[in-house]
This record gives sequence, C-alpha cells and structure tokens, in this order.
Amino acid sequence: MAARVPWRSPAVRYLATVFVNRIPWTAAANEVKEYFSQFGTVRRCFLPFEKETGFHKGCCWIGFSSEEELQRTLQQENHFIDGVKVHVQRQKYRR
Amino acid sequence: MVSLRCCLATPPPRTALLRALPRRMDRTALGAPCLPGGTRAPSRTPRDASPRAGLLWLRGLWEDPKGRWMGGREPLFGAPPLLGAHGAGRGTTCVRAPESFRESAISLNLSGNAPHVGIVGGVRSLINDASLYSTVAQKKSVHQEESVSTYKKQIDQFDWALTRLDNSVRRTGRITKTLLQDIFHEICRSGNPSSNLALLLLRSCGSLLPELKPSERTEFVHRIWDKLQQLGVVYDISHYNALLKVYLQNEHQFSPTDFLAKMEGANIQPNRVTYQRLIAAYCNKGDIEGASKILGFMKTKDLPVTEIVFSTLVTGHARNGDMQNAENILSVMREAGIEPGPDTYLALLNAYAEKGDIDHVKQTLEMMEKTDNYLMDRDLMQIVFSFSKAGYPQYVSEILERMKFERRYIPDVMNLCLSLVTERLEDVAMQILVSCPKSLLENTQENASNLNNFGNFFLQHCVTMNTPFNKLEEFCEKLKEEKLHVAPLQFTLYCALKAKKTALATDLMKAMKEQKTPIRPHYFWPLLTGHQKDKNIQGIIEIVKRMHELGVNPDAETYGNYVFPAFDNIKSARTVLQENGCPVNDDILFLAELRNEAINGNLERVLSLLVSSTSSIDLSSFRGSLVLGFRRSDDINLWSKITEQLYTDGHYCQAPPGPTEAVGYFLYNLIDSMSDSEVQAKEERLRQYFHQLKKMNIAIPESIYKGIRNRLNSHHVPELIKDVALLVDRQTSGSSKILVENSSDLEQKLENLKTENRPIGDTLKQLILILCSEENMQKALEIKTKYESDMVVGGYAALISLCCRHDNVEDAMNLKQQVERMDSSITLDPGKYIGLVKVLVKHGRLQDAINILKEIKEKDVLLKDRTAFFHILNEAAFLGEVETVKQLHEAIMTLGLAKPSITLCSPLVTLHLEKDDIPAALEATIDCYKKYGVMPRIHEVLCKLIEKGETDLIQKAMDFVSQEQGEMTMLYDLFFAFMQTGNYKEAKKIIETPGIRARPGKLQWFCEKCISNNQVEILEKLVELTQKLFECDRDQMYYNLLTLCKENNDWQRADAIWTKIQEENIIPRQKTLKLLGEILRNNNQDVPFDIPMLWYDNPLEADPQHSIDLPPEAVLKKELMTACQRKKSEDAYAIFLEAQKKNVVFSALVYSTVIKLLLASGSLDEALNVKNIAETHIKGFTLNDAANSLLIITQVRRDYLKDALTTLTTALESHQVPSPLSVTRLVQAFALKGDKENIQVIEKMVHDLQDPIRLSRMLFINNNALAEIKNNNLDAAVEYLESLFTSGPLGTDKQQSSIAYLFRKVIEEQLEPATEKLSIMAERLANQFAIYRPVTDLFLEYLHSGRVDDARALLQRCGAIAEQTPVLLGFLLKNSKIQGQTHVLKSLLEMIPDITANLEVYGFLMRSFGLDSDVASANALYEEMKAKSIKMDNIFLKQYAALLKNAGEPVPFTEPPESFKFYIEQSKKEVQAPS
Repeated sequence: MAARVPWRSPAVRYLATVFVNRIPWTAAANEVKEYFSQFGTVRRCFLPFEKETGFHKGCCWIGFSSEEELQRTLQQENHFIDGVKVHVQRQKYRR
Repeated sequence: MVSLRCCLATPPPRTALLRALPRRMDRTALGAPCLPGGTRAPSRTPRDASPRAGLLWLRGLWEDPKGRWMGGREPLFGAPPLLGAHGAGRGTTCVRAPESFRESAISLNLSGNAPHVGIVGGVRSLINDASLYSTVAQKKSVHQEESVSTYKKQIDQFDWALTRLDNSVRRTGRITKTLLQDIFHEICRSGNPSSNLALLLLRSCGSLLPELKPSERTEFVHRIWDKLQQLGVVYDISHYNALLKVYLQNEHQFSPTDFLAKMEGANIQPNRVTYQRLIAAYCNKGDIEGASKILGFMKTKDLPVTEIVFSTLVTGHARNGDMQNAENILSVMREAGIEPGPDTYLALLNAYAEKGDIDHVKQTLEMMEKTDNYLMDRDLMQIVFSFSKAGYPQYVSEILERMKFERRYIPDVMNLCLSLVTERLEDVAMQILVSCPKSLLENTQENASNLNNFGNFFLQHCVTMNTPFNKLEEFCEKLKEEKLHVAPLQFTLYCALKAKKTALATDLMKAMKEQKTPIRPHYFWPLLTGHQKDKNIQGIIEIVKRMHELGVNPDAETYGNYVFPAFDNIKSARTVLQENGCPVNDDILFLAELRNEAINGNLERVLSLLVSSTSSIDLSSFRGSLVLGFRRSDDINLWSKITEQLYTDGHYCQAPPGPTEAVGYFLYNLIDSMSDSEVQAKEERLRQYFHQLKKMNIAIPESIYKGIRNRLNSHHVPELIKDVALLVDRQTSGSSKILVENSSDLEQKLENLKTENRPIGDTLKQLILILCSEENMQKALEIKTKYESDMVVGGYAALISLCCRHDNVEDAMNLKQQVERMDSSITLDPGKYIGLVKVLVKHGRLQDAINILKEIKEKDVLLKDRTAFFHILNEAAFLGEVETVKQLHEAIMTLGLAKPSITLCSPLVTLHLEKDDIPAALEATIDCYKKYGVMPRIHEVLCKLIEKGETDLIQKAMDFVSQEQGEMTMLYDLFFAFMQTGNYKEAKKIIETPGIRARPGKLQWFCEKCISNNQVEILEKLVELTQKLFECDRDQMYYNLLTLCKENNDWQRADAIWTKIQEENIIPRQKTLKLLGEILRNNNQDVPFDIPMLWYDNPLEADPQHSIDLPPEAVLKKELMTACQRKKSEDAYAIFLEAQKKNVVFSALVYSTVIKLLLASGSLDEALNVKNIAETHIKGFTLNDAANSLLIITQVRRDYLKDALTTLTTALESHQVPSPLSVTRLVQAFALKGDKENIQVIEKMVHDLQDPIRLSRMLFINNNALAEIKNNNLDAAVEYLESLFTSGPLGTDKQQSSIAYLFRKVIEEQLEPATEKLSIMAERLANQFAIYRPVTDLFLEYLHSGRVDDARALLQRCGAIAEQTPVLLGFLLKNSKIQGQTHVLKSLLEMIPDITANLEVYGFLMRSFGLDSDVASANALYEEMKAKSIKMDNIFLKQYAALLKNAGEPVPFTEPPESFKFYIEQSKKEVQAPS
C-alpha cells in the first residue's frame, strides 16, 4: 500500500472496517491481509509505515466487503499474527 | 566557622585517629544507641526478652522457608522500590538511600540536643546574609501575578516530570537516557525550573541509568547542574548532597576539597549527610587519611558517628588493601555500642568479593545467619556485581544459589544485568537471566502483553553496547532453549535495525534464514531510510544487494518508497541497479513506477506505462495511487484513455469479477475519495468523463452504480447521477406565609372564633406551632386538650416532636396514638419518627421503639439521615444496655432501614469494650463480619488484647482476619495494634515481612489517628519503621509527621526531619517544603531552602481537598476569589458578608475585585457597601480606575447622576483616568436631562484628558446642543451648531464632525419641531456653505429609523448626499455587521444605486444577508454579479458558501479552502502592500 496516501481518512466508509492494533513489527501489510483473509475478502488493508524510521506504528485498518465478515472476525476471541496477540476492534466513524 | 577544607589541606595528626576516635567517643556523643528501637535490635527477639513472649508464635508466619528475617536495604542497581505512588496518578518520590534507618533513629533522638542544631543554624545565618535570597523575595512581590502563573507552571512541570520518571522506574526499575534527556530538554525549553525539579533531575543521574557508563552519567549530571544553574535554580544543601550521592553511585573520582570549596563559594554549609558522603568518597578511593580528617571534623562538631560511617570505613580499609583493619571495624563498632548490621556486613562482603575471596564471603554469610543478620536479594546482587567486576565470575553461581528471586526484586535483577552488560560482562548477565525461576517471570510487567519474551531489555542493551554477533546468537539460542523468549532473534534484529547496524542486522537475518524464519522485504526499510535521506545511492544499492543475497526480492513498496526517491528519475534507478548486479523484477519495478507516477499526477506517463507494459498486475494493487493521480490532473481525455486501457486491456482486471466490476469499483473509489466541494467543482469535468466512458462502451454493474449514486447525493451533486446512470450495465442488472403573631393574641383570637362558632382549625394549628417554637410544652398540651376536636395532624406532629425534645415519652406516645386513631395511614416526617425512637430507647421502652421502626418500614418513610441510628445505638452502648443495642440493631438490619456499615455496627463492639469484656468484644466483631461483612473496631479490640496479653485470642482474631480479609490486612491490623500499644519491636518484625507492600489508605488512616490524638512518638516510630516498606510514599509520611510538629509548634523536631529527608534521599513535594518552611518561620528560624509560594495565594488553584488545612481567612478568600472568577456576584457578596461577620480582613485587591464584579452585575448598593467596609479596614482605600469607571456607569444607569459626578470628580482628583465610556454615559445622561451646566463642568474637568482617553470631541458639542433642545432653546441650539460649522472648528474638518447622535436622539425622542429646525439647518449648511456632512447624517438617520419617505424627500432636495461616498460606505459597513439591518442597506441601495460602483458594497451586502440568513437575496445578488461578471473575492464566496451550507443548499462553486481569517489577513495585506 502506498504510504503517501493521506493519513487523515484511513477508513473508507462503505467497507466494514476493523481497526487492528499492536501488530508486531515483523508483519507488514501482506502478512496482516493474509491473516484476515480467513474471515472474508479483504477489500482494503491500510498499514501505514513511518517514512522516517522504516517501521510501522503497529496499527492497521482492514476493510471487509460485508458486515458478516467483520462480525466473524470480531467473534473470534484472540488473534495472533507472527505469534503475537493483536488487538482487533470495530472502526468507529465520526459520523 | 572553621573550614573543613582548611583542615583537609593541612597534614593530618599522626595519631591513628580512626582507631582512637570511636573509643574516645562516649555514648552520648554517639547518640545513645540503647534507645528503644534506636539501634537495630537483633531481629529475632530472644524468647524471654519480651514481656509479650507469648507472641512468638507469630514468627512462623513471617519467617521465610530458610528461617531468616527479611529486611530492606538499598539497591545497587537502580532503585526499584523508590517512587511509590498512590492516589490518582500522583507521583511520589522516595528515592531510597543506603543509610539504614537505625541512623535516622539516632539522629532523631539526638535532635533535641544542641550540637546537631548548631550546624544547621550556622548554615542559616550565612544564607541569610546572602543578598540573593532577598532579591528573590523582592522579585516575588513585584511580579506577584506573573509568579503565580510561573509557580503553577512549575508545579505542573514537576508533576509531569515526576510522573514520567516514576512510571519508568516502577515499570522497569530504571530510567532510559532518552527519557531523561527528553525531560531535561523540555524543562530547558520552558525555562523556570523549580528547585525540586532540579533535585529530581540530579538524583536521576546515578544508578537509575544502568545503561549508561558511569562516566557518561557523571557528565550528564554536570551538564544538568550547569544548565539549571544558568536557568536560575538556586541550589541548597539538598542539591549538593544529591550531587555527592550521584558521584558515589557513579564511582566518580573527585576532590572532596574542591567540592567543599564549591559549596563554600555558594555559601552553603555542609551538614551531617554531606560529611558522611564525603567520607564515603574518600573510602571508595581507599583514602583512610582523608576519611579520618572528616571524621575528626565531625567529632569537633559533636556529630554522631553512625553505622553508615562505619560501613564506609570498612570499604575504605579494604580498598586500602588493609583487610585486617576492615574486619576490625566491626569490633570497634561494638565497642562504641553499635551492633554491626547488614549494611556493615555487606560492605565487608563486597570487600572480600573484590579480592575474590569466596571462602571469607561464605564464612561471613554463614556467620551472619547465625547472628540473625540476613541479606536480601538486592544485597546479594551487589556481591555478584563486585565479584564479576573484579574478575571472578566463577564465584557468581555460589551467590546466585543463595538468592530467593522474589518478584519485587525483578527490576533489580534487570538492572544488575544491564549494569553488567555496560561493564562488558554480558556472560555473567546471561547467567543471571537464566537462573531466574520461570514461575517468577510469568505475569511480570515485561511479560504482561505477550508471553515469553523475557530478556528484551538485555538483548537491546547488548545491541547498544555492540556485543559481537556470535555472542548474541549464543544468547538468543540460550534464551530460546530456556523458553524465556519465543523469538529472540527477531527482537535482536529489531534492535539492530532501530540502531541502523547493517552488519549485525545482516548476520541476524542470515541466522534467521537458517532457522527457516521468513525474511520480509520491509525488514530492510529501516536501513534504507537513513541512506535515502542522505541520497546515498551507494548505500541503497548496498542494502538492495544484501536483500538479494538473503533471497529477498524487493517489492514495489521497497522500490517506490525507499529506493526511487534517492534517484533523480526511475530510469536512472533501474540502470544503476542493473549495473550493480541487482536483478530487477520488471513487474514489480513497473508497479512501483506506475504508482509513483500516478501519485505525482503524471497521467501521461501512467498511460504510456499501461499501454506499453505486458505485466499482469491487478488494478487493485495501484488503485489508490491512480485515484490520487486522477484527482491531481484535470485532463479528462487522459482520465478516459486510462480508464479505457484498464477496461479493455485484460492485464489489469484479471481477478474473477472482471473489468466491469473492477473499473466500476475504481469509479466508486474516485468519487468517494473526493470531498463535497471537489466533486462540485469538478462537476462538469466528471460529466464529460462519464460521457466519454459511455462512448467507449465502458459499463459498470448496477450495484456499484447505486453506490456511486449515494455518494453523489451526499456530495450534493444529484445532477451527475443521470450521467453515471448511462454507464449501467443493463445486462447484469406557591406557599403562603404564616403571619407572625404572638401566642396570647392568637389564643384570644381562637377564643373569639370559637364563641362566634366559626372554623378555628387554621388558627389552632398556628397557635400550636407558635407554642412549640416557644418550647412551651405545658401550654401547648393544654390548648390541645381544650380544642381536641379541632386538632389537625400538623398540630399533633409538632406536639409529638415537642414532647420528644422534652423527654416526655408518655405524652409523645399518647399523641402518636391519637393521630393514629384519626387516620392510621398518616405518615409523620422522618425526623419525628427518629425522635420518638430515641426517646423510647432512652426510657427503656424497647418494644415500642421497635414498633416505631416497623411503622417506618411499613409506611415507607424515606430516611435521609441514617447516622441518627448510630447515635441512638451508641448512646445505649455506652450505658451498657446489651439487649437494647442488640435487638435494636437487629431490628434496623432485618427491616432493612439502613445498610450494615462499620459505623452502624460498631456499637455492638463498643458495648463490650466499655465493659472491658474483650473476649466478648472480639466475638461481637467476628459476629459482625459473619453477619454483615464488616469488622468494626478491630483495631481497638486488638490493642486491648495485646495490652492484656491474650495470646490465644490474638491468634484467633488474626486467623479470622487473615482468612476473611487476607494476610496483608491481618498484618496491617496487627502492625497498627502493636504500634498503638508501643510494642515497636513486634511491629517492626511485621512490617519487615517479605512481600508486604505499602497500603497508602491504611497508613494514612493511622497517621491521621496519631495526629488527631497527638501521638508524636508513635507517628515518629511509624515513619521510621516504614522506611523500607515497598512502595511507601515517604514524602507523605514525613508530611504527616511535620503536620504534627506544626500542631505542637515543635520546630526542633521539624528541623531534624529535614535532615532525615535528605539522608533518605527523598525529594519532598512542594506542600511538604511549605509546611516545613512555615514551622521554621513561625519560630523565627531561618529556612535553609527557598520556600515554595503558598499555593492558596494562587486564586487559580482550586483544590477543595486541601482546603481543610487552611486558616479560615484563606478559605474565605479562596471561595471569594473563585466566586469572582466565575462571575457569581451573589455568591461573592454572601461570602463577603460572612467574612465581615467573622471580622476577616482582605487585601485591597480582593475588595476591588469584588466591587468590580458587583458593579458589573449592576448591584450598586452592595458594591458601595463593600467599598465602605473596605474603607474602614484599609486606610486610604480607593477604587482603581477601572472600578471607578464601572461605578460611574452603574450610577448613571441608576440615574444617580450627582453621585456619578462626585465619583468622577474624586477619581480625577486622585489622578485616575476614567474610561471614555463612563464619561460619555454621564455626559449623555446630563444632556437628556437638559443639564447644560454639568456638561460644561465635566468638559472643563476632562479637558486635559480628552485626547489621551480618546473622547470624541463631538461628545460635548452634540450633548450641549441636545441639552439646549431639551430646555426648549431650539434656536440657541441651532445657532450654537451653525456657528461651530460655519466659523468654528467643525467647518474645516468635515469628516470628523458628525452630529448624527443629535439627529438620532431628536428622532428617537420624537422631538418633531427640533428635527424640523435641525433639518433646515443641515440643508442650509449644505446649500449655502457646501457642508454636506450634517445633511448626509440626517438622511442616514432617517433611513436608520425607518423614515424612508423623509429620507427620500431629503435626497431629492439635496442631491449632493449621493456623492458623500465615504460617509455612505461607512454607514453601510457599520450596518452590515448588525443583524436585522438588511432592509436599511437595501433601501439605501435602492435610493442611491450608484453606490455599488464601490465593489466592497457587495461584500457588505453578502455579510448582511449572511447575518439575516437571507438566502433568496444572496442568490439574487450572486446571479446579478455573475450576469454583470463582477469579480467575487474569496471572502465573499466563503460567506456565500457558509450561508448556503447553513441553509442546506448545494454550493454551486468551489468553496475557498482556507479559513475566513486567512482571507481577511490576505486582503489586509493587499490593502497595505501598495501604500
């Protein structure tokens, strides 16, 4: 994913989006996307990297194509990526 | 005083000072070591030693498995249990010192003696001389306001820094360099660091930074020291002592002589702590001579020699190579009456360890066990460090075996490891890590989020310290083997990447590859970023090569984000890569290039890439970039061509749904990513785009069309929907007052009414109530009997209450029954029921009382004050009425009238305590817990049991508490009971129980108990015994002790506490320093530090929790100022009156503030009252300028014109400058009264001020004229004005001579003749003298007041009005800012349409429409301007857009993106630029 996409609107409203936090540094967008593909079609995966450091900040937005897929994701209690437990929650919108 | 420095400079006496010294010292000089608890008593009390020998059963509970007593001592590596915190995030500081508390005890007990005091006194007199101190004070008074905010800032800053450091230490046992640097820089940046903050920073530069080499730490502390001094921090003795401590911790070599010189230079006198630390400095170098000199000096000052000093002497002799003498110190100590404690032994053990003498170490340890001296893990770790550092790592394992690895020492273990790594002893560190028991590591902080990654801190530090790769690999292997860490290599790689250590990172990745761990392209990004920033192409190529070597193919992100930006263009990047033998994957390179070009909006290049490439890359992988690219380009043809290419060329839409779906989705994304205004602005282009797509036969699925339709709708461009629809793929498709009359009158009235046979109910009730309020029970009851048949419930209720008060239980119950007979459903109010219960219980009528309780329950009476039950029960308990208390309590509980609480249950126990039946009391407590879950008065019960030596019962009680509330609660209960009964030895054993932690709430409870009972000794003991309690808030403990000192006005004790605070290395909070400062100052003692300003001087500070500590004046002042700040004038006045009642006098500032507030809210009388009172309190009290001006305005408003004039006169007499508004109001008021004389009086008075206060000079002219008119001297007025215009000053300066005010007033007041005369005058001036201002003003005033016809007529008569452009524009501008004036603007424009030649008029109009939400007019204006192609500026457009948006209408143009402010600034600049 291109890192130059502005950060302000990371989530796209039409997608059922989850916000994933505490992603280990070893995983990049591909790994995260691959992991979440087990719950449905990942239409969007936005894992911003900091251009200054070359590391990401550990948070990512995953957009599923449907609400059911999102629910399926949230129903699973624990999510592990690269052996590290990540924190998954529904993306909240301002409006 | 004789300088110690001079002593040190001369050769020492030849005598063996050291050996002689302690012998020569008698017991008093040493500080009575036999004091109770003063020396550390042998920890295990001999079985027969204590009169409470029966308590020894307790030992079993507190002994650890190896049968050793635990105690606390200072950590070498960091300071884990330091910053104990409690409360809501408030940090606390108690950086612990190595000195054991025995010493403190001695000094404390000595503090009453003169010698100790003498030194500090000397210090003070010297400081007092320093002019510096007084300048500081001076500054304070001058910049009072400024310093208030500065002070608050300082407090905030201290809290902020403390919290950050505290968090770090609590979590990890250490502070990182970055954190400390951050804080330091932040403080430097903001300036004004407080003295406390300085202490905190200095203290942090020692062993809390285990990751830094000691030399770097010292460098750091010096940097901080110098910088803070530059910033104006005044150092006191505590800072110098802290610096010494840091030197010791860092083993910094320095000259004590120079140090003393530095102190002397700063006029700071050393104290006992300074001497102790200087001795330690000499001893660390093995310089016994130097140490002896200081010892000798201490001797001359009669300062006590403590165990700390002896311990350092042990080290001193050992480092001097004289182990014999080092060992001898112990016997010297004993001779001096001090039993060597763990600290002394530890010094000896470290000395052996430094010599590699494991045998002696073991012997000593065993010997210590025999004599009941035990070492904690932290001490053992010091020995480990000594062995390792001295080059004997082989003995480390023997010491490790003795460690218990308690959880609370984990931060110490971590710090030991870090220190070892810093000393390049990684292997020993690893050995220690591995020996940590696994069970311990679970759920530690380090492990909290993820299981099994213990050792991160170690690996990270190894990377920082450049530990070679092979060693790191070995460590990783080991950590994994030991199941301490799941992915050590990955973590080490992370550290290496962060530190940009390319070689190490490559090695680590190779090792990972061997282990079949995947290596991902983004691992290389951190390495690339550095080179990219420097445009270091060689460096980048190097990294890319390494990627290939490791079999990692760079992906498009790597190229696009980290490789390409360093090159001038992508082509050269490709060439250089190929030249350097980096295989280039065309697909990926293509994708990277495509994305970069798209993001830059270079659509032409994008198209050619798409056309020429044969790569099969899916649209989804560059969709985002392309959307951005489209938005950055206006070339619709390119848009269409690219879309067509994507649609038709199978390469890009190979994913299952196919091109229809993919391109449709792309369109959706495009629309969705744009903002409302962007879509609106590009509406036409988008339309063209869709039409071109249609022509290209591009179709989109209906579902996506629906999505796009929704987006377009929400973008407010529904017009576009039909254009998109073309693309749809069809195939898929009030209370009254009681008159106050006296009782006899009423009785008479009642009599009369009765005889007249009229209803008497109300009067009867009134009479009863009055008799009740007169407490005339006899009479009230008589009246009741006399008029029984007319009694109402209210009367009865009052009577019942009265009888209860008079203890007349019989009548009360009778009345109650009578009420019931009248109406059994009647409910009395809660207070009456409680009164009944109370009196019934008192007279032993238990059953009746319980019946009343039942009635309360049945009738569902809402009880507000349940403490009444406690008082009833407690009273009965003191009378010893067992059954009453029990049954009544039972009834209250079973009826559910109150929830069981400690308070409510306590009478059940009090009952037995009062009878001295302690077993029964204990039984009752236990019973309460079983029944209600509370344990009332357990403390008192335990105290009694201990006093009586009831061992079995104590055991029983403790078993019960322990079982029900946990061991910790039990220990605290017992601890407090022992403290209370003076059994300090037993108390000490308990508080030293391993694993016990500070419970701030419980400790504070006990402290407050001590304070309220004035138990100085107990509190002092408590503070002493809790010194090493884990997480104990030391500052709070000392604060409590100081509070008690304050109450007893015991400044000697307070002074000794100050020394102890330093000895313990505590950084006191501001409030503690303030308290200490107050005690000393109240006793005319000098204060050896800069007292923080009293926080309640600061009106901004509002912390209700602390107000209890304040004197009533301060509380009132604070409340008053708060009320003023919140503009609550009524509250403020009420507080003021209350203060007045209490004879509290405030400062002039406070009075002024209150008066201003009252005036501002129009409360004139109250303000004057305050003013009068202020004048009686403060000689020469005067209101300041602003308040006087407000007073004038208020007086005018109240029509007290004479008073207002007096106020103005006095203000001017005292050379005050009144506000122009106040003068204006007063003059206008006089004019309306026709009082010409007073206007002239004022004119004379303010004559000199007129220019400085910017009074309009037309003020007096207008109002003089108005006054004349009011006096019916119309002709005089006209003559006066006309002469001013024709031959006076007004004729020459036409712009500044507006008599609009006069016109307005006569029009408003409907003075028709005057209006007429003035009109004639204005026209004459215009026609004959070409003075057009008056007539224009009149015209505009007609318009303003809605007299449009008059205005029109005037304009016809005098056409020149239309040419007065500046006046007209000014009028328009003024009215465009006022809501509801649109019609005025419109009528002016209608009459003088030519004015629109001035384009700013459009702006005024739009603003007016905006204010009045007149969308229709705005639209018309917009259309008109469009038609006339008048340029609309950004402010205009912005205003229009805002109006439309508010009205929910679409904005048909691109809204200017920046804020109003921006454009206004811009236009201002434009105006200024040409001039």
